[in-house]
Amino acid sequence: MTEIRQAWRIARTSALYEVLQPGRLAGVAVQLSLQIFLTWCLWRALYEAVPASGGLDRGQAVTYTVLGTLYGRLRGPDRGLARDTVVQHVREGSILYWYLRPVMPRRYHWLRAVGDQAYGFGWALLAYLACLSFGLIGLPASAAAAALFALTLLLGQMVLYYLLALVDVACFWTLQNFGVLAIIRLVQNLFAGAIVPLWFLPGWFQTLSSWLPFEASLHVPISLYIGRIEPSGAGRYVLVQVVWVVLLAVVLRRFWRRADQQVVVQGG
Amino acid sequence: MRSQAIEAAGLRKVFHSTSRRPGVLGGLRSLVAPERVTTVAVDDVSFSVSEGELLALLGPNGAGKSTTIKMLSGVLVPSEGRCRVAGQVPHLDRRANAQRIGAVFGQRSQLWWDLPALESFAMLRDIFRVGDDAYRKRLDELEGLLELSGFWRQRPRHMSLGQRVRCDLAAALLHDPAIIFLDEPTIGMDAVVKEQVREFIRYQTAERGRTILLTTHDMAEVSRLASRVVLINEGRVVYDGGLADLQREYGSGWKVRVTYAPDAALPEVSGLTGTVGDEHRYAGTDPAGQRDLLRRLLDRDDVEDLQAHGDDLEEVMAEVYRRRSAAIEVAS
Amino acid sequence: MLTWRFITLSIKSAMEYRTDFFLMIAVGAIWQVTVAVFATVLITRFPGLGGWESGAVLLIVAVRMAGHLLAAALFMGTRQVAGLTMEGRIDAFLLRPMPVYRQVMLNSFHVPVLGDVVVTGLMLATAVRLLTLDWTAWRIGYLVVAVLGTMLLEAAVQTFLGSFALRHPTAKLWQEWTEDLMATFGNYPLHILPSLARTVFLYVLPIGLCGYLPVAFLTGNTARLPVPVWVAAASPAISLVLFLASLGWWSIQLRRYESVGG
Repeated sequence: MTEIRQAWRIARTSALYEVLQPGRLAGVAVQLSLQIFLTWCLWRALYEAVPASGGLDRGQAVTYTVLGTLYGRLRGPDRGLARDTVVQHVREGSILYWYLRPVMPRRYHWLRAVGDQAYGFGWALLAYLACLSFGLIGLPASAAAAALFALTLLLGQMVLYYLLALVDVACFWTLQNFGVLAIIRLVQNLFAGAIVPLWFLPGWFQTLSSWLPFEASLHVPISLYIGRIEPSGAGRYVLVQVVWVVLLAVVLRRFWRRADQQVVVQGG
Repeated sequence: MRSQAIEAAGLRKVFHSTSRRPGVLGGLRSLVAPERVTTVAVDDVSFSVSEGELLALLGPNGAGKSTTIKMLSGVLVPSEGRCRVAGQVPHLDRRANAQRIGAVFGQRSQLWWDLPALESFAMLRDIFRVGDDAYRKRLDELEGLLELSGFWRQRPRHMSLGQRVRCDLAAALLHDPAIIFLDEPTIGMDAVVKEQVREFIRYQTAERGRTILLTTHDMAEVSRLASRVVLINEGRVVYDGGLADLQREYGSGWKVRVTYAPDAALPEVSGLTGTVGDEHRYAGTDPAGQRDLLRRLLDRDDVEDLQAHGDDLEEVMAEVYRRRSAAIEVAS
Repeated sequence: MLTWRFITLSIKSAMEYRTDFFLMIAVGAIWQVTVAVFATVLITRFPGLGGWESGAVLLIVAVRMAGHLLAAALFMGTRQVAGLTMEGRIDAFLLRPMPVYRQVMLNSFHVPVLGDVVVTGLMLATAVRLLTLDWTAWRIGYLVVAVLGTMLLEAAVQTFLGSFALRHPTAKLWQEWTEDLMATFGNYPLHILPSLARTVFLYVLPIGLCGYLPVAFLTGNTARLPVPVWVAAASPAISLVLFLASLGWWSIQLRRYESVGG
């Protein structure tokens, strides 16, 4: 029982930052609504002239891009403001307290990440339901599509977690990881299709993307949802996701082991 | 014989880092072929702390105090040597070790910066799996000793240093550890809060029987709290023993400065070393002699100003280091 | 002179973490390539957007990118106000004989900018070539002014929001969000949007002043303009006015600055 309570307390920390400040919650709601509305307007307008482009009709494209704006929420609230990112702890030296608690640092980090993503997912879900009820987006193409959407989304979030965790742990010895974080975030957004639907980009781009772990987190799930990828063709994508999950998990384990041996604490 | 709560034997810690060559060209070269630098933070440190004892670890900046304490608390893995806390090697099983020790590192807080302190306490209660009843009792006790209720609903970002460190002290003790590591806990505080914290520390060791290893720069703190000190310089132990012995061996004794009223008849006491302007200076090595002199002076009514100094611990420490390096020079 | 010293110091300290330094340049380059690819998509998949020829649409993107590049190079400090306030660095700045605003701007150099320059240049060149315009000295001059106007508008928005960050670090979240919005929606001829969205982007968060209006005037695409032509022509000047206003707002907020506790 205390095990669960411990895990729950740790996981809800970032959510608590936001929930305890009502201004923040309102701010998130406003930002999300505005962004969804504007994206919806834009892509409907873009399709005024052209009925179908890149293999997406207007309904599909709008659904894709609107769901894409929800994607940004999935990483959870901003921990930098609360001085609670790993890189900040490493730089200030407070990371050492992670090693003075009866929870392994890697488990603590994992619980926090799960909590963050669960909280972000909660918001995304609310926004999704609101969009559905206002008729801004369409329903899944089929029941199978919906199920595969959920599966690939879950796998995609796992890939995302591992990538970000690797960057976090790497800063134990690089001490500055803004460049790597920026690249990951950018490439993540790009290949996930959050900037512009991947279907519009040239073929070589899409081929390159299919070998990288990034499109797994957004592009694949949403494409299944709107029916652009048939459920029958989903197998290959799921396989790629699983391979990446396993690969990244192994590397992360190695990283943590090395970091535990070599805790570098800033300052005297 | 009391068992040893903390044991350090031959501890050594070496850090590897890269350094940048000076100048623009050097900077460019360092980008592709950086220079590797090895720093020996701790060379050879050995000492032990008995159960219920308070040991002060002293030394100049960069001497290796903090690194030593990090090794003993299990955060750093020693490059060489052995350490045991409560009979176990701390870094081999950090989770178990965490239940046995508490730590406050002065410059860094373990509280969640953007959460009210009470929330942080509740978090730690659950992380350390402290029962609700025990938690409430301990929190009450800590509140009484540290007067936290005035600000424990605030976030650390809004607290003053004194308030934050007091919360950190409470946080470190919520799980009732037998052994506590304190790394410069009162640094930067004002005098009133310092005194409160010191009293708290003294209480923990005297009344609650906790073992405390304290690093500090503050000499007043040392003489107030510790009966035993370990001096570290350049990564090595240069003195390990009682405070009183330290003063006797390396101290230069006591000093008293007196300004008498004009036309006063000077008392007949030994120990006069000279006069500086209106000031008469007395010195000696025997504490009894100082007490005697002071008693006689205080009986008089023609003393305008009186200052008494014990051994200046700074000077004592400087003397220790000086003799030590002299000994090393002689040996080499 | 002092400014140059600041910049070189920032670059040097960024170079301390050498991997990170190269990565940040790579980030800049990748980002620009992304936008370039996106722009290509835009004009090939959606030709005749809003009745404009491809070159004109591309020019909107290019002007916005160039203006953003300059804003990132010179005014990135506005995005760091929250962090500087939390670290108490503003206090230190207040004690120095240089305007706090300038110190904040000079505090660090946004390294990715170094990777941005090439791609931005290419975009501008391509757009110019695609357009069948007679590039007189006036036109070229106006193009430069349009780029500067874009820079000033972005700086104005971020300075305005950044001023709040002096007392409320959460302003940082709003800054990031508007940055996203400006990057996402600033590339389009805005008259394609329905009136509500158009109003937002012309009067609330006036990114219309960035690429759209000046380019509309420059290329003569004034047929479906939602504002009078003279407004479009004067848009860089309006950006300048907004920037100066935002500086005024900064001064007001700075006067009411309270340091962090402890």
